Amino acid sequence: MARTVAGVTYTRTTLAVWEVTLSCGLACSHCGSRAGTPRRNELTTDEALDLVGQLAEAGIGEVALIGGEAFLRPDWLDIAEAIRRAGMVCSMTTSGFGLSEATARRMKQAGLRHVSVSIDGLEQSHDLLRRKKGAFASALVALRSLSDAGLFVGANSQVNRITAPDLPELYEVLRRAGVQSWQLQLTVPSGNAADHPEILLQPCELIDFFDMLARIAIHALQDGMSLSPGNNIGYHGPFTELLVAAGGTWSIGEGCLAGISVLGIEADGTIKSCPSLPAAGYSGGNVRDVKLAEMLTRSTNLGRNHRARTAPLEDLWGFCRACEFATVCRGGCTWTAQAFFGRPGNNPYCHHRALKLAESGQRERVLQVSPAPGIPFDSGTFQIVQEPLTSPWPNDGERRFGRDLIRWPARS
Amino acid sequence: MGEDEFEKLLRRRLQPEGGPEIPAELASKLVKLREELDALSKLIHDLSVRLAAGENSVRAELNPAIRRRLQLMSDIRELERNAGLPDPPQVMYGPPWRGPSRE
Repeated sequence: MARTVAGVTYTRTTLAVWEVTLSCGLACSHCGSRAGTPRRNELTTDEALDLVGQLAEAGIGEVALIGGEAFLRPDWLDIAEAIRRAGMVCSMTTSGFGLSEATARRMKQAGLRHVSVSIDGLEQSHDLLRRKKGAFASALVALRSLSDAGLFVGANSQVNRITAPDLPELYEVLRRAGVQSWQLQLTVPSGNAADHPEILLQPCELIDFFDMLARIAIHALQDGMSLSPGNNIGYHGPFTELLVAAGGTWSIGEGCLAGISVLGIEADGTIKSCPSLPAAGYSGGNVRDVKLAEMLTRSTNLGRNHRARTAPLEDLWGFCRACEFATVCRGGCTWTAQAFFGRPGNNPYCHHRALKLAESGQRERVLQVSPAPGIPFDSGTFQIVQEPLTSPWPNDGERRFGRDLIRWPARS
Repeated sequence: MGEDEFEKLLRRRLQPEGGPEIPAELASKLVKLREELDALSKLIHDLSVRLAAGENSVRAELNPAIRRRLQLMSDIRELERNAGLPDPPQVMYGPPWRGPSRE
């Protein structure tokens, strides 16, 4: 679907990420939606199937089913099959916890093409973060079942102080398990993660993180695995080209794509510009009230990033506003900035920024100043502390991340 | 990128119906800019690999190349927009099977 803003026509969303239920068998420490029990008013089967038709009419190319845990919704394979019949690609992200071989085979029959299993770290870290002993082992079993069923299998990982030291070894585990692509995403203080700010990487810790990630990326290139940094891993640092090598030059981040190439759908039919963002301020409405096509054409909230492209500095503030890459990057991930500061446009989780500050002997860290209220996608509030690199860390007993903690497997 | 490939790219990016004509002079300019961009991207990639392997001396060459690349991308975007071409769909965020690629 095309849309004209200030005389420029933009091509519309291609990917919809659909939380089909908020029901989940896990209660992960980082879960942005605080999943567990279903939302009060989740779409009925008829409503969900109608939405499938609307997505196809809107020109969506792929629908990724998420949760909660998508396979806990009884009619989820009917939805998947309808997506395929409507000519769209159906894919899924799952914890894999309790996903049986039989379910994997039914997924294949229903026409699911790709499945990504969430595996955050090695066994101890993963089970700690997922708050479930056996979750790591279960995820590996799911990987094998899905692969045996003939599905394209990927993995996705949350990066934080618990998991970051594991990543080189985790890469080897995933490679040996036959994972064909691996997406990494920084944990941000959204939902449950907002209750655990101590697990978040600090902006100044990104320097060691990116050095590590670049080394992994070289292995991935050699091994033919697609390494895919998520939308909040950036921006325009010295390794950007290496990290997006599979996508070519034009896959380098040109700002947040929420509402441009991605949409989020909550289980009750609320449409958002990104699955990770809160509905407040980023929702175009509910499909029970308004047709999707109408929302895409008229919603101010869904069009926020379209406007940003025509007035790129309008919403930027702090370091990002004066940054040399401001007009291209536009502050990077909206969700990250929103989660920390309640508004987009200034994102300290940036490799370029951390390096520039370090050059001048400075570093940034974020400090939670008020807690999250306890609802899906909430955050509390944070402030940025800029201080000399040589400043002692606060004596808070928190686990730090640095190159000395990274566990490299033998071949590295 | 050769002329044929570029023309294919342009065609793909036009709206299905009623897309704008691309003047020959502008198309030629865009081809040149894209060729420079492709060469620069290869250079940056090579330098990134060397830096990741611990060769810190490449930073002095890498940083200006990154700036030049972004300037080129910005120039190409502006020329394309002025010619009435739509921004292509992009995928940065997305499920991992897509990789960090554009549509």
